[in-house]
Amino acid sequence: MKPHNKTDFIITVFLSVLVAGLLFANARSHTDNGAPSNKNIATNGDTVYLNSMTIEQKVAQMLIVYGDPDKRDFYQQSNIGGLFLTALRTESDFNWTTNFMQRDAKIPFLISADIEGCVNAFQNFRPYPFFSEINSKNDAYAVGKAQGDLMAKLGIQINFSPVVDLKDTIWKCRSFTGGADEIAGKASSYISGLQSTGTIATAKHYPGRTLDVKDPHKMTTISEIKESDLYPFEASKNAGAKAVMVSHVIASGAVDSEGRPSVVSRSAISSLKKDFTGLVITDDINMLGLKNYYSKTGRDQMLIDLVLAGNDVILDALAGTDDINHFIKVISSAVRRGEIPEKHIDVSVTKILKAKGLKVA
Amino acid sequence: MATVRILNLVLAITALALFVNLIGANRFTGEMVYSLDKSEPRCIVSNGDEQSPLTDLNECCFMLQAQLACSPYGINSADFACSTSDLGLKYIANQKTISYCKSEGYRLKLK
Repeated sequence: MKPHNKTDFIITVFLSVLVAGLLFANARSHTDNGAPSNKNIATNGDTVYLNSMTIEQKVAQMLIVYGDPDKRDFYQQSNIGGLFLTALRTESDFNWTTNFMQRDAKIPFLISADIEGCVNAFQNFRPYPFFSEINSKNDAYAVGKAQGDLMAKLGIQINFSPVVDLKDTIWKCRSFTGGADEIAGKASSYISGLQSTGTIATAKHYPGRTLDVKDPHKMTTISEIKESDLYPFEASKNAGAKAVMVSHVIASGAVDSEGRPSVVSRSAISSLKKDFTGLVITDDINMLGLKNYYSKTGRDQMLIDLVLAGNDVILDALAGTDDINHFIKVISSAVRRGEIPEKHIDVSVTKILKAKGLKVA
Repeated sequence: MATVRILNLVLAITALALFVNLIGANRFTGEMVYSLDKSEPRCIVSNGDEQSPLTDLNECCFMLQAQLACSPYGINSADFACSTSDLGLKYIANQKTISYCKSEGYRLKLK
């Protein structure tokens, strides 16, 4: 064989092996190898038997991910807890999507969206007043009720609203206006209106001072939390808010997150849970305020800390199939190692299933 | 000889296509463009006459992903404006930010 013929032959062999490897990797990624199964979960009508669920199936319930219709079968098979929907063109698009996603699901998804005032996934067909434009508690109640009615009609069970931070220096429209008392009053009325329709309200972003311009180099903001920042959260809890979303702010003062982003701080979340038994939900876990904090220790530790800190629901609006499988694997392994007590997972999953209107036995 | 070289070329193209498919075409092009673009990423929240920077790029990407569509914005500009309706907020992002979001895996609806 001539030298150049030999070189060509070696290249052919190398490329053939490379193509074979890539074909295998593609096939593996598209069959979602390693995904947990939703089989053998015992249900009876609207009752779910928690003991019939594996650790993986329970952990998956703690995730809310971006609702991509192309991945419905994977979400259902993995027993994912919830889906986050973003803007669609029409009401019927939302209806189609929620029906399609829920069809044949062993345990229905908790379907969520952001419908505040100026951040509004329905904006294309149903604009609402911005929170900054709401002048009275009565108006706040009416807006909450109108949003809840529409969400209930469209099959969306939870609204990541209202924002109860006292200030919004970025969007300048997501917070109610006024002092702490006025904001607390409007937020409570909005929550009552929204939840009168059966839609779950989420007071956010605990412990406050989240919607501020951040240091562009660090992204993590250390905020001095005052009692007045917490007042709207207390009012929201008293109004019966069924969920609270925790932010990535590093808090000191009235809430002390001990140098960590609040969302991974047991201390901060314990303060919240003192008089609150509803769902504790993370803000989206891909934001740099959180990611940068774990730049050295890594994502796996971040995921474990999110659960250990006391969050019931992890919002990952970026998660692809690999990320979902990875989350389930990391948390399930931590449970098996005893790093996260299984009881801790059971408490969260019970809350999530009940939020879906299911009974847990 | 020629046959072997044509076969190698086909195999190389197939390998590239499979690689792009594996990591996602959007992420691949996003990462390429992001690394080549030397400008600073920029993301602005526009609420009527008020404009504020959104400095957490991933928070910006989250908001861009939540919008109905992103269209080219401004004359002779590579910026995009993302919104859900003409009446609501706009997020104005430059190409560097768009590439970053794509490289991170966010699903932007670019027109």
